Amino acid sequence: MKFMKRFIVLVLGSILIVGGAGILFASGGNESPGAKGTVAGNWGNINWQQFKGKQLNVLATAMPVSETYKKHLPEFEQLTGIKVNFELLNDVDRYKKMLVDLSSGKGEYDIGNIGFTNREAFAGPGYLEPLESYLGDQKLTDKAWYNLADYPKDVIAAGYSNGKLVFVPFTAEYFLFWYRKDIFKDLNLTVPKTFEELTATAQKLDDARKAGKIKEYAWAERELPGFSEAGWNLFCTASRFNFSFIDYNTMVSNVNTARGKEVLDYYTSMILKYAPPGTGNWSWGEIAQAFKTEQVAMATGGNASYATLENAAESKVAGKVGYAPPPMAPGGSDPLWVWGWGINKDSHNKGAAWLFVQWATSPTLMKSMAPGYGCPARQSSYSDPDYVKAMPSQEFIDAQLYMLTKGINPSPPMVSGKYNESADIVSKEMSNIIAGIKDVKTAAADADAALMKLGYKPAQ
Amino acid sequence: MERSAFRSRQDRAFPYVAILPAVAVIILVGLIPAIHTFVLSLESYELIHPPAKFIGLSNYLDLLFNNPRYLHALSFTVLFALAATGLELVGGFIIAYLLADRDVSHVYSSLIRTLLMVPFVVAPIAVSYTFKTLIYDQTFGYLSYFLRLLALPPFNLFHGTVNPTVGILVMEVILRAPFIAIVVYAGLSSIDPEISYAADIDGASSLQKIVRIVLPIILPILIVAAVLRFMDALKMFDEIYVLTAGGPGYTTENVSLFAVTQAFSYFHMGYAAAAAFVFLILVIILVSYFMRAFR
Repeated sequence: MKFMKRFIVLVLGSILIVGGAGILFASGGNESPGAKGTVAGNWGNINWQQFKGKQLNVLATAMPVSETYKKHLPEFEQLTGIKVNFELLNDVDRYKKMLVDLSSGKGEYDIGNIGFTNREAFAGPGYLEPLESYLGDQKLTDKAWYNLADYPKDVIAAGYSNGKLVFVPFTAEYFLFWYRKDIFKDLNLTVPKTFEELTATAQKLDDARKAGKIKEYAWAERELPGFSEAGWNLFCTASRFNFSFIDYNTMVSNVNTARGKEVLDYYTSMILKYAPPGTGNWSWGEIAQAFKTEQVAMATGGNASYATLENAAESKVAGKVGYAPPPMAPGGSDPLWVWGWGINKDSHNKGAAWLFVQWATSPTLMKSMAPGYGCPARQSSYSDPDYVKAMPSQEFIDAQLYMLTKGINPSPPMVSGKYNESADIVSKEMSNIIAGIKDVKTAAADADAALMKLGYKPAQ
Repeated sequence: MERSAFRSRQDRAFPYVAILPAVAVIILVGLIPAIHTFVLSLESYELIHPPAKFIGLSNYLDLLFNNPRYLHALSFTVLFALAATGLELVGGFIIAYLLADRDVSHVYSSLIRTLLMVPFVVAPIAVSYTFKTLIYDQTFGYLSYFLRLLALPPFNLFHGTVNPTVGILVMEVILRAPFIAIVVYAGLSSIDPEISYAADIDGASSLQKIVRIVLPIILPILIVAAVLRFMDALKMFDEIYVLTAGGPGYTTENVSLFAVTQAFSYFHMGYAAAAAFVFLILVIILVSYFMRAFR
């Protein structure tokens, strides 16, 4: 009897602990706002309720536009009767989690954010559902209303892998040059268009800081080593120099060439001379924070980040920021980055998932959302009166339109599935230069040597 | 007679039944993943280029004989863990010894011990971001501010190879020494005060009391605390990931960061599994050695 009592207590205790843990873990993470809100607007000529009662799991990147999507989710739920579990993760963890789910074949997530450089990692092994059949199905898509032709050709091209459309973009992002209009006006500076002009402008700003005329440092750049951190900015800078560190088609490394060392030297010397001290582990979050709190006068930052700079509640520079295409060498361009929505090949609700993707990239929703995040993928958004009114300045819109039509590289090397490891190596050697451990020559040579071990050939 | 024999069998069986759930969990979340990891380590499995291909011990041979980056990660991990554990033991013992002094009021000691628990209830990643931005950062952090007030040179976390290591080490010791302090305090509290009085009568100095009386008595507790902290320090990830991302270069990359990078940034799943398995073997050897050496 004593043993039975003990056994019962033990079993009950185990159930309580496991059940309590399950409740605790289940209560966090996924969010599903209730079905509230109106669904005004033109939603095309399809039956949006055809998958009513289904449930979708969506994995999105924690970024301002995702917060905007979250606010509109009740509208989708009301429009379709489909319940949505919308999970947000930071970019790096979102990518890893998505990749693990895609490769497992379990289909835990029906839909995921696809970043441009994730495309080949996800689509190469066939993890993403091709979308042409859904676009062509009249029951699922009102083609005339959806109007895929509204996307600039370079932007929609980003969603294709091996000839198949695997995700539909909702942002078109690239770097813009941020500068403090008030400081430029006070010091009589003009917006630099070339790297030489940028260096000269940085020197003038640095001289003004040392003379006590301004407190801001001249420049800031991403320095935290990693392919998605400093590696990304470094490769983008190379692209603006009309140069590529690595040719992934021919598997040739150009890091240890004269031009490669020139780009490395430019990137690191701008930081060492003009950036605030001790910024070796800065990424875009720290740069944005430094810009907003009047620590830095110039930077290159994503066009999508304007909202954080112009938010008067948290930015001391709201209304004082100028935007321009980033300085470039002749023939240079800035790599395009897009975020899009793609469907898991192993999703158990592909039809419902397509309705979500269609809704999330539709002209109706984009008209409503674009003023909130500033970098829509659809071209018609840029002339919409609501969008124009919501943007910080015409200069910002003009800079974006210039980049969309003349300034972007729609096929940057970073889209290769081999980008991660190689860019990681180059960025780590770059960080050795920043830390004073190696000089440019040694860092370039060591990067090259490490790339040779991966099968790359040195440039002739 | 039969009833008492049955009860005796029940009593003998009860301990095994009681630990059965824990053993089941350990097998599910420990043993089975370890076996799967070992199998994965014998394969060339690229997450974005499936399927996996059996390659025997090639991953292990490459890691141990052809990858200086991994060997650096291994040595950094072990040396860092040894240094961190040593400093935490010293710091934790000093804190505990001061708090256990009979002249320190019980209320004050309880308050300090409660405050020492704070690092345990905050997620390591949150603490790491706090150190990165609010303490070490020369633009946003207050370490630079106080160094300027004291007319001392600034501390650049990302300069050279020593600064990043020292920065992470200091953060780790500040966070984890309280654990040693709390464990050691419990041990010190259990020492009979009569022994200390007797030592005082015999004219023993404070240092002699510590070396000849206190340390021998609490040695088993110190060993357990050291082993637990050492194992934790070996598998540290959040702090390095946030503070330096393993940089500059590969200076502060430990085995955890190396394996995660190989698996989820470079997609070399089999290679990462081999890296983790080599490390597991090393940890088992090191911990076994420590346990035997100090018994």
